[in-house]
Amino acid sequence: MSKLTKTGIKIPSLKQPADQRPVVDIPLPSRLFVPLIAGDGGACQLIANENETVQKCAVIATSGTANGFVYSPASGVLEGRQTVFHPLLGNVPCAIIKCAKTKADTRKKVPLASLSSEEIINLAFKKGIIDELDGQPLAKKLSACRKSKNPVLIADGSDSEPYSSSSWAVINQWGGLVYKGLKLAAIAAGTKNYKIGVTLDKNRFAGLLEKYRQAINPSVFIKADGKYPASYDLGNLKHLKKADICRLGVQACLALYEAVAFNRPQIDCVVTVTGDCVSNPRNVRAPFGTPVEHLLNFCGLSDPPEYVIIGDAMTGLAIQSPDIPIVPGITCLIAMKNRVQPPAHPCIGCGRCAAACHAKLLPYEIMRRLDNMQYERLDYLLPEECDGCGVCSYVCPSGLDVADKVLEARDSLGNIFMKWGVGDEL
Amino acid sequence: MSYKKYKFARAPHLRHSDKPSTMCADVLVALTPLCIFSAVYYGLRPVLLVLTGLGSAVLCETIGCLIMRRKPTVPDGSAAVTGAIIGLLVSPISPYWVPAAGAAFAILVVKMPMGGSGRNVFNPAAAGLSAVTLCFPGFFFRYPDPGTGLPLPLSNTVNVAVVPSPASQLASGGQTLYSPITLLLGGFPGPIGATAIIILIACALYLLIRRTISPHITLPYLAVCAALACLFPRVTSGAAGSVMVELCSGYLLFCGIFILNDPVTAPRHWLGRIGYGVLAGVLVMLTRYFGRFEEGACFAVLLANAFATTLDRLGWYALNLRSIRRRRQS
Amino acid sequence: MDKTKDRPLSGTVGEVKTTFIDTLFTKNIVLVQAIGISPILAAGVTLKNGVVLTLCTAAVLIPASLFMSLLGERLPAWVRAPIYTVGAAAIMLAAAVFIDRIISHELYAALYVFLPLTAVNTLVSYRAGGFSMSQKPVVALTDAVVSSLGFGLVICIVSGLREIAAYGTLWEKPLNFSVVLSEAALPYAAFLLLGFMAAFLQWLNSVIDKRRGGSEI
Repeated sequence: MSKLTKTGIKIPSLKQPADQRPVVDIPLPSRLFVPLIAGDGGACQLIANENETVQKCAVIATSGTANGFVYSPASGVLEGRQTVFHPLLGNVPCAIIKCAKTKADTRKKVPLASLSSEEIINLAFKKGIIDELDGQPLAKKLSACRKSKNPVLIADGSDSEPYSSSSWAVINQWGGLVYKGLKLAAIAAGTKNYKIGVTLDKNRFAGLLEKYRQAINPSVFIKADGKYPASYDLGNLKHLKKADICRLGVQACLALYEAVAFNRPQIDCVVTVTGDCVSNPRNVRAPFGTPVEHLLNFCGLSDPPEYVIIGDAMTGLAIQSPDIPIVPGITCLIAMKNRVQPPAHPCIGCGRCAAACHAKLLPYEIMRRLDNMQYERLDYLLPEECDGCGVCSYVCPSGLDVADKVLEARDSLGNIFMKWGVGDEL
Repeated sequence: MSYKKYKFARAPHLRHSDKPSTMCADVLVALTPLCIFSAVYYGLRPVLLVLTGLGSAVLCETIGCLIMRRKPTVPDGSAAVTGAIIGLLVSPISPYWVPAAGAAFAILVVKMPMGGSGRNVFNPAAAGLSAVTLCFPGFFFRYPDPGTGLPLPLSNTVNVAVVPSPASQLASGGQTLYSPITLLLGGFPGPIGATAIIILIACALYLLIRRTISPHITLPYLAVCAALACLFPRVTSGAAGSVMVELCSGYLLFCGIFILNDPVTAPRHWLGRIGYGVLAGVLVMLTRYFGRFEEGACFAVLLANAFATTLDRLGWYALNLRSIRRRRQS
Repeated sequence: MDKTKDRPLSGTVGEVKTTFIDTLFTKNIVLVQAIGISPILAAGVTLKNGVVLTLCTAAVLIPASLFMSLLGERLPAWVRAPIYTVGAAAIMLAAAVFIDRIISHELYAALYVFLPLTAVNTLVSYRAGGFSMSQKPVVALTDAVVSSLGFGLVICIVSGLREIAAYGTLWEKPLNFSVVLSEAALPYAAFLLLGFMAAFLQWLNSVIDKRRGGSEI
């Protein structure tokens, strides 16, 4: 049973058995749908021609700027382009690549000259590295970090949501490389404070330390509090008390290392495929553009799922078509059949949503005002502080979609007022 | 690419296992020992009175839902709790139609017209109790002696000797006849469910642990009542004795545990809850000192309910004043 | 209103009809516009009180409305309110003396302060002072009469019910009733009754709107 605590709530972990299996590379699907959006967010135009053979990691589209490139995740034939509606990216043009079998790619290590922070940031833009935690380009986050006074970089491997274990799998398998990538990111951000955040029980943590005894300095690890949303207590590290925390994804750090060491763009990501309809839940590495169906078929479906969710259970989007391609930012895929949705009951006023909110908002009041169309002075309730963690909906005993209402208030604050005129007149 | 194979649902896709009926079930579980305790002293009659109240409330809620053409909300348990509370706060010798009338008023006049389950502004149990107290004062505040050991007859009207309760002794001033141990163990005349102080405290602890009631309401309420009893004693046995008697007499403690913590009518934010508890404490003691009846907690609760939403909002605004001002300027 | 059936009625007659139905029924002066509630709460306890209060209100409201409608616009703004208040008070004085000396002393005592309060009731200030001033005299007269009627209807129903419940009598003739709720004479009972009556009226309005084939919302 979950408990309600001040800075977050404890959700029972549903990571097994996926987190106990090593990461595997999935076999290539027949077609990849690669979104033509560059690492810095700009739209790109194809530079390869139709029916042309492309190699893995080759540039297939540019946006015209110095750093805007799209790379092919696999070798094959470029069949053309198609506009796909993706729930995360909207209507996005995608390049269709028909995959061909290739021999295992050899990667040549590029001499690791000591790069300055600008060069690292430019390389991160160029190689299209996107941080999987928030979908932002990694380089953008690092350059924003440079401007703050005392930043701390934390490679967030805590996997605070109940189903996903992709960050743990990446740290477990390639921890040394993640560490090197983190150090590069620290150079880029111009700080000497960096940590790798984990939430593990004692045995696993000891195993991790033992495995990377040579490669990683043990003081780099810092434990998250085990709640959702996870928070790190830097309080006992005195010199970091008032620091600005910048969270990076572990896969982004890994990709940064690969970019610097092997000049390789980010062309794949590790996704946890799990749920009660999946026969072999595990973490898989899939190239971008793989349709979701391919991943599900690889892990095996014991029953036809009713809901397929990209992202984890607390904040994930339920998709309706199985052809949605994997894009940077997706780290979890859930195929579920039994989804518990309690029947909606009017708000009973228990106040658990307000007690559980880590931004200290009043979700029930925002919901009540939206339902009754009382939009004046709605901004006093500060809905823009909401980060969409979904804890308020989780704890609501009446089964209401509280988080949705708060996000609606947050996103349409301007529009609601425009609909009714100036707010204070009412 | 646009065919829909899977269903749509909103995040989060996991939910906590509590339902609205969980909290009401907890409260009913906590009310059961009080009923049983009273049966030990008075026989089967108190249990029948509580069941009458409960049944009347459930029946009225079904009728109300039918009139309003809604899905029946009886399964969420709030009507049962309302009826049980009204049944537990009448005298053991009151006729059966008193808790039934109170529960009917509570559901059909106070709860259903205000919007039904989850939307009422005033606590239906307190309002039902106030209505029957006002309309039929002769059947209230007349309690039999628990020390006789004889079970009360189950007929509608009962002719049993009536002894003054601690609350009425306070109202008339002077020394109280009951020792602290008697008060704690519940061997004094009072409403059905409000005399067993030890059991009430145990129930309160159980509900606090299960997070069904909030300490932010109950503890300030009791503290304020105790403080006022200490400062303005109505008995001659000193401050400690006054606090003891005031808190254990009437249904002050019962009100603070069950009626004030009704989630629908109480504030939801912790600071608002503290203000609500303080306000309710002040009002309850005032109705005791200056009111017409020896126990005016039900009226005081209705007054405090009127301020509940404002206190809720004010508490949060007070904590976030700086952010709001910054937002207004931008 | 159904647009196919009604043609816009010519000026005054149309306004009179609209005012009549509105103030008495669809927008009843007490139940919907919430004007003139306080005498009902405190003094509308017996049917006799209710009738007397209605007559007094009518006696005050009709002359005041007529006066304001005829002369109101010619007076400067700052003197209107004092004039109709003093005028109402003067009429009230005459009515009070009439009730006290000629009708019944106990009745006068039972009404205590609510008799003179009728002169400054919201009914007078809203309808005479606010509404009648900008209307034709016929319309103002109708409005005053119908306001009093609407008020009278409600207060008689409420006070009749309260008298039956609280004292077991009707017009001071005892009925054979065994249920006596002695506290129905308190204001809270009047509030509850008014609330239910207002809800009932809204329901009737919505039923009639539906019968007429759609409302104009």
